[in-house]
Amino acid sequence: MLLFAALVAVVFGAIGREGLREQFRYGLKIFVEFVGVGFVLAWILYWVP
Amino acid sequence: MTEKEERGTLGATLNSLAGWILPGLGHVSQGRLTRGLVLGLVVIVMFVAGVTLGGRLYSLTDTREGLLSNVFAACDLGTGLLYFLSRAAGVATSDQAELATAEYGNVFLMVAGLLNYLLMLDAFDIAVRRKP
Repeated sequence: MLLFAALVAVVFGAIGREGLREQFRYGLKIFVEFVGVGFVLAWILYWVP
Repeated sequence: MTEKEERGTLGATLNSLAGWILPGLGHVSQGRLTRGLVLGLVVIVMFVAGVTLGGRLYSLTDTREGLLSNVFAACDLGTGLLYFLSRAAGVATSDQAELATAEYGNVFLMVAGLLNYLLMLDAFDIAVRRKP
């Protein structure tokens, strides 16, 4: 999940924003969102029989 | 559309196709070396990770999972040359999942293709100066 999130974040960051700083910030945001949503969904599904 | 604009669009389309065949080439051919290499490498790493995890490349003629197989194949096809070389070499073409992580592998392979489609569009936008 971390590898997946990191790779997708690099691409989204690079093509979604201009300027190295903005790209980094956006990529980091995407990464955190991917991992966060992954954990939330995992916990929700854990309680679903 | 003027003749100059038409030539520009044709060049941009060729750039995109180059990026489809070899991930990142559409950017490198426009002088965006770092961007092309990094993004191309990401797609290749994702593809290799997918194969390592036991993923399977779907064929366009595959009907094992109905119409979904065609959707999966269209996603996989986005990796361009990697897709054709792998299928020709018989890599990631096994019908039977050999690893417990095969489903993850399938997703990695499909997303690698989808990301490369995005890179194609990005290369096109740069070529027609829609993006700086």
